[in-house]
This record gives sequence, structure tokens and C-alpha cells, in this order.
Amino acid sequence: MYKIIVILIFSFISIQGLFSQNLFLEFANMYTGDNKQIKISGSLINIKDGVKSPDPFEMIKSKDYTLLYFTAKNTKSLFLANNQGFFIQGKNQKSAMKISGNYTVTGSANTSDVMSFDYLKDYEVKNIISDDEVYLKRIRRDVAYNEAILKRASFGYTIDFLDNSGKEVKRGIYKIGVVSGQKAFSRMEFHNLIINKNIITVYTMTKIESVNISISFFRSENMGRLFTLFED
Amino acid sequence: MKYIKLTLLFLLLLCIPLYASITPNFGIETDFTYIDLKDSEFAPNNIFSNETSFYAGFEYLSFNLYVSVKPAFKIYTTNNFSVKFENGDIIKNNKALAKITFFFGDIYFSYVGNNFALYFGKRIFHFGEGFNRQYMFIGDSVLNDNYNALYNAQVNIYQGNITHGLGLMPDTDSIDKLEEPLYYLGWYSINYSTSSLGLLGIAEYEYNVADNNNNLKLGFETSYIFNTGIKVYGNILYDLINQNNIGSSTSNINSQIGINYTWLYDNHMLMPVVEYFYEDSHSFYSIAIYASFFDSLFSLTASFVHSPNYKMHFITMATLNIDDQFNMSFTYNTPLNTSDELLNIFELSLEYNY
Repeated sequence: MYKIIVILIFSFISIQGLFSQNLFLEFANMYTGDNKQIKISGSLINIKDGVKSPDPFEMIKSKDYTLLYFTAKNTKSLFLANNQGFFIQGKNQKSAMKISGNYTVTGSANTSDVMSFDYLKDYEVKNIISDDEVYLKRIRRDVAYNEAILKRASFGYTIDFLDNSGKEVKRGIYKIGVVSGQKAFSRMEFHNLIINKNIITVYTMTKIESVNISISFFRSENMGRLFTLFED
Repeated sequence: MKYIKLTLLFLLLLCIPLYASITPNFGIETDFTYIDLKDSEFAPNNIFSNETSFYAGFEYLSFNLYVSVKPAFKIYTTNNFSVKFENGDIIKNNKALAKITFFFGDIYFSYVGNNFALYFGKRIFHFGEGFNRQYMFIGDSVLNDNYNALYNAQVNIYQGNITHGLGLMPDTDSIDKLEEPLYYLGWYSINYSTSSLGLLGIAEYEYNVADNNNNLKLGFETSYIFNTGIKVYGNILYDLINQNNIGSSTSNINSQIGINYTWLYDNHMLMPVVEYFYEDSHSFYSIAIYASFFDSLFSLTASFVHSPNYKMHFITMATLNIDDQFNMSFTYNTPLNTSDELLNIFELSLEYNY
């Protein structure tokens, strides 16, 4: 009887662990998509003291890279994330510039918030708090946030990102919806928790379409050519 | 010379089948330069010149293949200075000189495959770190992002985080004058990059046609970006073979270390840069700032270069871009503390593209 109870408790913990591991896998897979190359259209909306200012964006992503074309106040910029790092190239710049994952794209959203292409390469599960909550730890030092707490919510997921001292610096809210017939994070919100708390940045997705572009374009020396994909 | 003409002809022929889906474009660019010099009996007090070029060309773009051809005419005018001795007097004579030349503003194609990219023709490209000097780049060192288009052929091979680059480059200035190149340059580079670390190694070989000598340079660079946004970098370029001589002195070393921080707020960019250089057996430093205001329509670069026993320069560059069609740039360069004849250089460039 004693052995059966131990086995049952062990099984319960294992299954709970499995579910919690699945929580991270589910989130990461939903964020990355199904590995196909897709083009996303949408808006990045900054809400400052309740006043909204939306800017359109287009994005091409797969499991290996994310390219963001962002036009804000006539500024045309390409942001690229791949396994070589994060890069930015303005329309008038002759070469791409390497930047950190903490670089602010707009408002309270930085490059790693909206452009991480594979969470499974950035974080691992450190602690399982419950079926619906796991503690994540970054795998590499160059990942923007030291730790993160992922929670399941009725609408999708939330993540509280922590800095090196364990302080919660940002909250990400990820809402699942159906866009162009595909299940995806149709709305992501980024709330600053320490500085600039009056700014919230909302990422909304309005369209997903398939594209087929050679993977070599998503290298820093070739990314400037991709401006033409997003212009009339 | 024959090979240059054949190559240019080949590039033109390559473009002919593409005429059905091309975008025609034309443009005009005019550059004024005013060089202010110290008063001297045997030199002009100033040199004023203008280069104006017109091009009419086209671009072809598909997902993988890009072709751009921009044949152009350039009109060059300057005050041609001469000195005459008459009856024991020195007579300085400034006479306007004008030249018209034909060149290609842009002529190249690139093909981007799954694991490689091929570039061929005259294009703007760049690699290596450095704001005030770019030792690792095979072209001329310029102030921040102010690169010229160069004739070259290059293939990049991609292996995950590694990029292999193999390139060949003739002397672009000579080709633009439709003359035999004075030198040819070949290089192999290997670049390793992660989101924080960057490593670059390069070997470049130059054959100087006029002097019939060989030069070989080896370079290495490392860079690191912290999560705070601070970037540090350092590189060293060593002349292993200089004019057929195997180098051994420190004058064969060019080296720099630099630190910068990119700050972005509400679409305005500010980047302070501090760099320390070792070049030609002496060292100097530079403090520079790059600011982009009004949503990138206007940018300002200011750079101060100083060495106690070398030179002190102040350079400012302002650029304006409207709708990607009209560009204006103004550059002012003054050596603040020098025994050189040079006092000031003013450059104004106006460009319109359609």
C-alpha cells in the first residue's frame, strides 16, 4: 500500500511536471508558429497615458529568423533577428548595425519582445510552480531577461520578465486569436513595471500569408535589399 | 583595359533579357568643394571645384536576383592654378578647367541563394567596425557610413553563425576614368557572430600594377555587445608583406579600440563613440557623436580627432533626406592645430533621384 502511494505521488508529480513542461512548449510553439515562412501584417500601438498612437508593421518570420519592417513617423527601418544576433538598418543607412536584444523598437517593446524567433533556444524551465505556472531561466547570457515567470491565462499566457536582481521589469500578455485562418498570438501587450510605466505597447496581428524567400536574405549584409518587399 | 570593357559589356548584355520587368530611374548629383588654404606664393589661396553627374538607368528586382545599371556623365570643373615668373614678379593664375567623363554610377547584379550570395559589379558594401576609421574594410576608411561604390566581385558562403567571404577588387578610380587599374586586391574573410559576440578575420592581398609589387595584410577583429546596449570593439591590421618586403616594424600595424552606445528615444537616435587608434607608429583618439533627428530626415555627425604630436581635426556632417528622392549633405572639416597649409574644407552635395 505504501509503495502504491509513493508511485501515485511520483506519477502525479511527473505528470504535473510534464504538463508544466508542456506549458512552456505550447507557449514557445505558439510564438514561433509552425516553422513555415510567413508574412505578418499588423500594428504596433503605443498607449501613453491612455492616448493611442498606432504605427503599421510587416514581419517575415520562421523558426530561424524574424524580420520586422516598421514605419513610424516616416522612419522606415528593418530589424532582423537571427542566430547571429539583432540588427537594424534604416532606409538611408548603407549597412546594417548590430544591436542588443534590449534595443527599443517602439514604446515599451524591445527587439527580443517582438522578434524572438525561438524561445526554446533562449529559456529553459527552472522551476515548476504549478500546472499553469513555470519559472524560466535564460540559457545564454545575451538573452535580454535573466528569468521569466510564465503563466497560463484564460485568454492565452502572461510572462513576467525579471532582471538580474530578480525584480519584475516587464509584463508580456499574449492573447490567442485566429488570423487568416491560423491560430496565433493575435495580440501581445508589453507593460513596463519599473520605468516608463505610463507607456504600454500593443502588437496586433491583422493578416498572415505564406511567402517564399531565400533564407540568405535574412543575413545582415543582405537585409537592406528587403526594403523593396515592403514598398510599393 | 580590354578586360574592363568586356566585363562592362557582359554586365550590359546580362541585363538585356530583363528589360520586360525593369524600373527605370534617373538622377542628378552635384558636389561643391571649397578648400581654404594658407596664403602662399606658390599655391592658390583656395580651390573651388564642382562635380555634377547625370545618370539614367534601371533596376531589376526579383526575389533572388537584383540588377542595377546607372550609366552616367560627369562634368568636373575647378580653378586650375599656375604660377608664372615675369620680370622678376610671381604671377598667380587661376583658370577654370572643365572635363566631361563617362562612368557607371551603379552597375551590378547580385544573386542570393540558400547558402550563398554572389555580388558582381559596382556597389556600396562594407564590413568591420569603426566610426572614424575602418581598418578591416578593404575600401577607403571614411567617417561613419559614408562609403563609396566600388567595383568588386564577391561570394559569401553561409554556415550557420559563420560567413566566409571571398572577393576580388580592382582600383575603382581608374575604371571610372576608363583607365587601366593601378592595383588589384583579393581577400578572404571569415566572420563568426552571435547575438553578443562578433569575430572577424581577414587576409587581403594587393598587387600593385604600376610598381609591380605585392602586399599582404592580415587582420583580426572582435566585438561584444552588452545587454545594456554598450558595444566594445577592437581590431588590428598587420602589413605582413609591404611592397615585397616582409614587415617587422610597428609602423606596419594599424589598430583601434572603440566603445559606443546607441540610444533610441521616440525615433530619435543618439550614438556617442570614443575610439583610440594606433597608426603609423603614433596613437590618437577620437570622440564622435551621431544624432538622427526628425525621424531620420535629418542627421548630424560631429567628430573630434586629436593626438598631442600628430593632429587635431574637427569634422561635422549634416544630412537631409526627403522622401528618399532628395538628399543634401554638408561637411565641414578643419584641422584645429596643424602646421599644414590646409585651413578649412567645405563640401556641399545635392542629389535628386527618381
